[in-house]
Amino acid sequence: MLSAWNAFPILDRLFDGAPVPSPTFRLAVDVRATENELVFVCDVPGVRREDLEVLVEGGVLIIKGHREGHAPPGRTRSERAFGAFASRYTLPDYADADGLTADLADGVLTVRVPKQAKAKPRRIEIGAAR
Amino acid sequence: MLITLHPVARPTRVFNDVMGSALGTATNVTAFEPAIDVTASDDGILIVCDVPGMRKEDLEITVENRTLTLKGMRRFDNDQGEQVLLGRSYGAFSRAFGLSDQVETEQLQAELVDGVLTIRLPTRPQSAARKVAITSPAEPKRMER
Repeated sequence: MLSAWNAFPILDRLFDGAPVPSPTFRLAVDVRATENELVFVCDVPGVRREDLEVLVEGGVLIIKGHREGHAPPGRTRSERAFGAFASRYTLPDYADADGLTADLADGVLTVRVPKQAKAKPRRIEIGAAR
Repeated sequence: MLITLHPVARPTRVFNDVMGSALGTATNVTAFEPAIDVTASDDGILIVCDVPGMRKEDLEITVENRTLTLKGMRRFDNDQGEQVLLGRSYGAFSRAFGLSDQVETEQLQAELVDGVLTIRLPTRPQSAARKVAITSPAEPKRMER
């Protein structure tokens, strides 16, 4: 099971009993490369579109956001994580950052980065030299 | 080359599609274990489960003998010829929860929105406290002279 890296385990114990969500949201991402594009598939269940941000800065793809947590009334045993998350990926030279698209559906964010045309294998005609 | 920068080092695996790669080996996938919050209150039980990318057809909720079982299968759809860096988890999962007698299992409601499954189970309204009158035995009749 994925375990969250908690930078402040001591603080969590101090706040035991208070409704503090302890694991921070860990972004799980699949990266796929097809002939035409790079695809980043991220699990963001229950994250609203307005709480997500996808940007490219200096050739680095940044996916960040946060998930709001509202503790329902009653006693809760909590495994779900809330809070802020961010992931960064250095894009390869052949990535066309301007053509980047992002879709959110069923709690999954899909970011597609097309490859520049010149990156695709180019067939070279073999001519007959005279 | 694709470089990932993470504040925390995390093991990642490269998965080559069997059909597309000369080596033809697949590495192990991390098993999908959805995070679940369970809240118990006077009104009932609330079960909230993270199942991103899953459809209703891939999930199953059954109740038997005061046990609620949530099962599902998160499929990995791999187009032929793709190279994948696996950060998400896949596969079948099953979680079971014991329900108290107060829970009205017939009134179970479940909804799937934005990759989050929410199951609600109300509890039977507690019967109001009933005052019991204390009766005295009938007064003994005076003996008629």
